[in-house]
Order: sequence, then structure tokens, then C-alpha cells
Amino acid sequence: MTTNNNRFLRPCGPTVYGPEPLVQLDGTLKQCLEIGRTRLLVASLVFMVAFLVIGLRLIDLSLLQEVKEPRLAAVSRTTALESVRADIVDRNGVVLATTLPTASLYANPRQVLDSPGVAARLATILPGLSEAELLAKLGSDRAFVWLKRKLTPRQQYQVNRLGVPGLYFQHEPDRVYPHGALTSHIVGFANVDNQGLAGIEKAFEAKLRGSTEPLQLSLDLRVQHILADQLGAAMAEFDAIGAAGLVLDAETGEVVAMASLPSFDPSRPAAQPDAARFNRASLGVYEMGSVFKIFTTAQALDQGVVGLRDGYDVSQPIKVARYTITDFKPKKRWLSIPEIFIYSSNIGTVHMAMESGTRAQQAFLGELGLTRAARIELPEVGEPIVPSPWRDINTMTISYGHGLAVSPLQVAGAVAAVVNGGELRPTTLLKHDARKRLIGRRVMSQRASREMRWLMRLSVQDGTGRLADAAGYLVGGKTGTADKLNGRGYAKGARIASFAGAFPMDRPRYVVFAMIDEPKGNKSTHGYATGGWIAAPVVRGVIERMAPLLGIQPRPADEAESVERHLIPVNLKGPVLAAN
Amino acid sequence: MNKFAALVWLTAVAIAALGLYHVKYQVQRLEEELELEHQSILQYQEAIHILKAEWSYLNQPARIADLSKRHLGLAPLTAKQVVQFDELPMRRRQASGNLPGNTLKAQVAGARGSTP
Repeated sequence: MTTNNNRFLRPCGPTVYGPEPLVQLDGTLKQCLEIGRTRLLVASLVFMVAFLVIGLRLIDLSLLQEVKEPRLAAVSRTTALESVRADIVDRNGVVLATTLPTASLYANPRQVLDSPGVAARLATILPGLSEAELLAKLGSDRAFVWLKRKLTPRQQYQVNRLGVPGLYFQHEPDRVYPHGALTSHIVGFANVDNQGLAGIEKAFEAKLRGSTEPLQLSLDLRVQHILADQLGAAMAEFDAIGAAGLVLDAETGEVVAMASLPSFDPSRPAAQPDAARFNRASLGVYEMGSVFKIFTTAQALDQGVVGLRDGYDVSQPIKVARYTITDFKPKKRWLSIPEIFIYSSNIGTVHMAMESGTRAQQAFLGELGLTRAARIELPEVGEPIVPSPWRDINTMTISYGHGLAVSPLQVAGAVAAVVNGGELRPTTLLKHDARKRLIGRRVMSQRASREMRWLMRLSVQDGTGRLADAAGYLVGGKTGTADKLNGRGYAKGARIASFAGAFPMDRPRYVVFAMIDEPKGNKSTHGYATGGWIAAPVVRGVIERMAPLLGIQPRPADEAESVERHLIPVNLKGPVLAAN
Repeated sequence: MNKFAALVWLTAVAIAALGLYHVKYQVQRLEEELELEHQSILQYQEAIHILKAEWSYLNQPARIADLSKRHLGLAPLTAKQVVQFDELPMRRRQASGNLPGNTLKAQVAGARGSTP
């Protein structure tokens, strides 16, 4: 046996010192020892491997996995923001609705010592709560009673300064609308428990509640202000009861601005009359008057019923049953199609519609989305009032915008389809992602759309829409004036003046619609309260102010003329037109 | 020899124990610090959130328009104020008979020639 083996044996055996081992082992005993040694070796090997693994894991955890450390910060961050409702922002990221922390005051009446004194002092700090009311609350036998929800920071400070025991604050998130009445019809509002009750707040309730990612709308706050400002000025000047307006991106169907006046403060919706909370732009349906001639003419041109060189004799009023259809300013002669459009002849338009036929009109207006409720991400959407049954007399009146009541949103969407080359896109309040493909449906031919663009430009240049002409921006459009329905008949003197336009007409970027409810003519309009006198200047004002903001280059006068020449067949321009 | 080894090991154990003690408390202190940092991050986030709302409130277009009217005397841009580069009149050269287009070409060529 070697020394090595002996040394190994020493701890188990008797302590032996000396050069020679005293005990010699052999036979079965030696074999036993060998087995024991092997077992020890195996066991130690197992332990060594185990410790090695633990050691490696320790190194791995402490040194190599450092990258995962910041996860801590992210975790605590999300837990803190989870209770918050997502912001709503406009297309440029301006905050339209956000959630801010506020303090709500509650009391434990059992801990309040001097309730009459506390009630008296609190009543001076908290307006809207009487001393008696507070005393009743503080004198109750409960352990918890709300005194006031959502205090202002100043009120919170004052209550704190009282130093009264038994009063406590509960931190609560509160919905805040920095732009108040300017966007209230679109953004909507939420109740005291931050549940959306109207507008986008209601439509996207689940999405807003579930995320911290802001919801981006297609709205441009600057354009929204311009539109509301211009409409408000017109409303004040002509003593109107209301107004509505829209700016639509003609290519994508995005709603860039949508205004309904009078408006309301979304932080106190209950304090306002119902009329103010009513969204005239999407929920209200109105007979639009001559604006509908855009669709009648577009249909006739698209279906080849008439060409631009055709025309009708408009000297005789049309008599159907007990109705007589006349023109507002009769021309008493043969008019070409462009003339019928730009002078807004009812008689000529009715002839055009009757030649197309009732069924064709029904189908075409349906294609343009004028017979179904508009598609938009708002809960407040008005159902159009469609005649049933749709008789020939309805076809006649609808051709110039009476007998079919639609919302301004539907009109703007349909006008966008007419001018953008003939594709109807669903109107939307959400910002269009440039990477996504646009969805749309062809409703009319490119050629008819081009002809309509020219007719609309001509109507602003030489026709009823002259006051909408924002120099350099090639505005096109159509005026509309409709008598308001009053019970079963039409009210005299109560009108809706509207203008549907688009610009620039060689390649329209935006559709602008303005509607004034019950304007009264004054000296500056020579007593007229028509679309051409009331609504057209609003559209001009909006375009003049918004175009530079949105980077649309105005054309210098000579270039505008050459573009127009390109747009308008020369043989149909100017005196030739009248003589045609 | 064995005694020496034992001593070495004992010392090593003592040093390790001390080191562990030290590291443990250091980690504890750092964690407290981290917690405080997290709290202040949250506070800053909340403050930024509130400031964003306030910034949006202060940027109400009607308010800006009013301020601009009172203090700046600026008016909305009109189409007439926007001019394209081609429309700018050329500076007249002394040499006669030069068409505006040629003058521009000459000027461009001159400008290119003069700079290395």
C-alpha cells in the first residue's frame, strides 16, 4: 500500500505516526475500503459539480445579467400610471383632453370635534355647499362622508390650513379639457368617475381606459379655431341661432375641423342648455338647398344624361300637382348646363334630374352616402330623413336640395368624393397613418369629377358663390339657401344658408363647408340672407387663414389664370358661355 | 503547514464575512436611494404631465390671437404676401439687350466661377 493511501485513511483510523504503517490490510477489508473510497469520491464529485453550478449561476446573476436591472424602474412606472385614462391629442400632438390628479375632501365625522365651527369655516372655503348641508354631513354618525369631490389646489391648501382633525383628502384623477368649448362637440366629456358620456370620450371608452398611449385625432386645433371664429363672427353679424362647419381632407376623408355653434364648456356639461350640446355638424340633419345641385349635376354628367354643351329652357316654371317650381332670380331663357349650375337655376336642375330618373337619383345619392347615417367615430350621428316612398315629385325637389335632410358631415364627405376624382372615402376623426392604404369606393368617373371641379370653380368665379373667392387659392363651390321646415310646411324667413367648397380646384386638398342657421340679412348684404351672401364669405375667411398655415401655396394672378384656362375649356368661357 | 493553512482560511472567511456585511448594507442603502429616485421620477412625470396640460391651456388659439393682436400688431398672411422665387424681378445689369433669363444664367455662372 502506498503512503498516499495511508494518509487518506488516517482520519478514520487510529492516529498513527511513523514511516511504516502498522496495519497492513488485505482481502475483504481492503476491498471494503476501496468501495468506501470510491463512494466518497463520487459523492464529493457530485457536490463539487453542484457548487460549481451554483457558483456559475451566481456569477451569471450578479455580473452577466446586469442589463435586466432597469426593469425595476419600468415596472414601478407602469404601476403608477395604470389608473390614468389616456390623453386625447390633435394631429399635431396638442393635448385636447388629459387626466390630472386632484384631491377630494372627505370627513370622518366621529373624529370631528367641533362640527358647527368646522361647518361654518368650510362653508367659506367651499362655494356651493351651505353651512347647514355641511353640518348635517359632519354631524352624522358614520365614519366616512364625502364633503366635496375634486377641489382646486387653492381650496385644498385652505382646507389644510384649517388644521381640523377628521378631514382627509383622497387623491382622484380628474378629466381636464384645456381647450374647453372649442373642441367640446368632438372630444365630448366624461362624468365625475371619468367615464366618457359623449363624443370621442364615449366612442373610445374602452380604448382610453385600457391604455396610456394618447389617442391622436385628425383634428387640427388651429384650423378648428379659425373655423369656429369665422362661424361665430357670421353668427353674431347676422343674428343667427346657430352655425356649423367642417373642413375635410379631400384625399383621405379626415375631419380637420368640425365646429358646431353655440358650443358648451365640457367641464360643466349639465349647466348648459341642450341646444348647445347638440352637434349640428354630425347629429343635426338639414335640407341643404342648392348645395345639392352639385350632386344632381354630377350625376347627370357622370351618367352621360347631359353634356356640358347641353342646356334647358328655364323660362317656364314647372308645375307639378299643387307645387310650382320657380327660380330665385329667373333668367327667362335657354341656359347651358354650366349656366344652370352657376346661376343656381332650380328649373334647369329639375329638368336634369327628371331626365336621369328617380331610381338613378336614389342609387346615386345612396352611393354618395347621403341616404344612410354618416360613418364617423362619434356616438352623435344623425340619421338622414329620406322620403318614403320616393316619388317623382321628391326627385324634383331633392334635385335642388329640398325633401332630403342630411347632416353637414354627409354633405362634406360627398363633396369630397365629387372633387377628388370620384372616390368616396369614409369620413374619420382619427389621424390617417400615411403607411396605410386608403380605402374608398369609386362613385363617379374621373372625367365627371374633373367637369364638376370646373363647374364649381366657375360658380365661385362668375356665379352665386363669388364672395367665397379667396384670391390665389382657386376656390370652387356651390351656395345653398333652404327654407326651414316648420311643422308640416316651410317657414318664411327662417332659412339655412350654406356653402360647400373645395380648394385649390385643380387638385383639391380640402373641402370646406359652412352653414348658418336662421341668419337675418342686414345692410351689408342688401337684406339678403342667402348662402352666397352669408356662408360664402365665411368659407373665404376660413380658406384665407388656413391655407398659409397648412402650407398651401397661393398662385400668383397670372398663373392662376393659366391654371384656370387649363381647367376650363376655352370655348365655354366668358361671353361664349352666355351666348351658347 | 496545516496551521498556516487554517490561518489563511480563517482570515479569508473573516474578510469574506466583512465584505459580505459591507456589500449587503451598501446594497440596502442603494436600494433605498433607488426607491427615492423612483419616487422622484414619478413626481417629475406627474409634474411634466400637469405642465403639458397647462402648456396646452396657455396655447389656446383664441388667447394667442388676442395676445398677438394686443402686443404684436400682426395680421394673418395674405396670398399677396407669398411670392415664388421665379417671380422675383432680376437685378438690372448695365449691359443692354439681356433678357431676364439670360441675366440669371450669367449671374449664376458668375457666382459659380467666383467661388472655388
